[in-house]
Amino acid sequence: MSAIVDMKTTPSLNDVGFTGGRDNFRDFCKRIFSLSEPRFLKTDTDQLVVFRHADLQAFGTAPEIGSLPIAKMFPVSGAANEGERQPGLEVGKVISSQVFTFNPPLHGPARRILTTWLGPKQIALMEGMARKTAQTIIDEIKDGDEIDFVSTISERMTTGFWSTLLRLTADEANAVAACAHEMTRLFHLPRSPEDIDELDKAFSRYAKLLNVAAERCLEQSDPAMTEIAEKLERLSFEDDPFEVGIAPKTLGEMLSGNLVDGYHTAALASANTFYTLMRNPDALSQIKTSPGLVGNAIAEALRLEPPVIFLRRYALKEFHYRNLIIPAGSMITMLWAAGNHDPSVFPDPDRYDLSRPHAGLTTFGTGIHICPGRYAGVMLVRVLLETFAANGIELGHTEQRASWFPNHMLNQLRVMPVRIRKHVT
Amino acid sequence: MTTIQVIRRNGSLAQIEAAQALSLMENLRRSGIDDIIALCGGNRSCATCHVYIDDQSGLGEMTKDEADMLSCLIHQRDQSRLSCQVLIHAVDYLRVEIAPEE
Repeated sequence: MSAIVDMKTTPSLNDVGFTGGRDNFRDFCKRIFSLSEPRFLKTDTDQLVVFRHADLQAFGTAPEIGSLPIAKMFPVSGAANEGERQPGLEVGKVISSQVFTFNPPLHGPARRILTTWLGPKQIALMEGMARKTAQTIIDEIKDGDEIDFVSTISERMTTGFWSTLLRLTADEANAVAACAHEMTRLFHLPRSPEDIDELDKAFSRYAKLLNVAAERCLEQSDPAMTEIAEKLERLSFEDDPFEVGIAPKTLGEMLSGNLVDGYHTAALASANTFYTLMRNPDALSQIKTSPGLVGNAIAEALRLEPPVIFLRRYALKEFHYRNLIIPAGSMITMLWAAGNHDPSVFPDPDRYDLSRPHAGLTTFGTGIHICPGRYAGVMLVRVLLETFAANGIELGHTEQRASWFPNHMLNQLRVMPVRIRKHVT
Repeated sequence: MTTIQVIRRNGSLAQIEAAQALSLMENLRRSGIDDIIALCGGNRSCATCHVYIDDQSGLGEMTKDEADMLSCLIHQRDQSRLSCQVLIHAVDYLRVEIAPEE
């Protein structure tokens, strides 16, 4: 007999000591996976938390469990009172064009616009551009330099790649990079009024810059951008911010909404991969001698240190699962990173194992909402690794240690100091 | 049951007896063919269950969604299918080759 999930008796994340952030998350996984119960947890606002691998897969692939609609996160139009600024409105206006806020029937056609732009075949054609970006960054660092890998390498790599693709000028690219840096506040737990204020400013600037870039791309007949704009014209859905979503009306809206992750979160993938490989020098040596292993090396690094710890989803319809009923309209916290640390699927999960099979990885989510930009994200990491190797660059530790954002939805390095050693090649 | 001969990525052969109620992807996964990652769980959204099937008679028509997803793949061929979208209830024998990783 099924029953509605009882939130009163469900333990909270706080009960098991999880408040967000990487270090806290690692401790949480060790503790929770040593127990066979509880099956689920809850947040301090009584949202169901899904963290076991089998449950993440089941919820992630269930048609009843959709994207969290934009109106459940941020305002998207209007003002509270005349002349009064509505906090989060600028963020909402940008994020409302993101496929992660779309549900059927809008989700499929909108998502296909992105997957046909950023599929493996298309991303392979963009590799040359990524290599030039990586080489430019590497040429500017010198043997013996002590740098912050996050700001000097990872963020510049992602910003450089997308900005070249979107034909931004150097000044525009720098301005977008500054906005992307501010976007980290989007993932703070909790977000302060100051965070929202700064986010509104950053998202407003970012959207304007990407709109200018989009118009320029169309004026210059950029083939990929022209194709996306043509497909957008055929995307005809009534605005429904409370469930289906808001179809982007312009190329600028489509790009700004969906490249928040490209500009911001993709940078975490390279930082986290290099962080992990620096702590597993045997694996690093192996991929230098066997470059064919680089795909596995990245997958395993991102299994251990995935960019996303958790994201929220939404029950579009009543969902029946394991004698439980999750009512329609429930918000659900998906602890994606925990799936990668579930020892029932990944034995000895804290061990970096280059030969480990990667079926079932939850790094990029699962189901129809799986990250459409993952091929781009992984390609940028691979190109960086290959360009470092081709230039004889080794990274060494410094006296200052890397640190992670605490109280954060993402597995994000605040700073990763490294010493550069350039060998003559 | 359907008999499926599988050519794995490393070139080795495997033969499995498949349940006709399940998709080809589910059968391959349940038989331990871990070349098939099926990241999206059978929602034609990731293409990590890409296979080649020479004789596709009895497998049903490919949908536009599946064709769109396949068109993004480097290793796409005329024989390409997403195994999560292949239903095998109308065939007794199938020869399947696992496509290279993208």
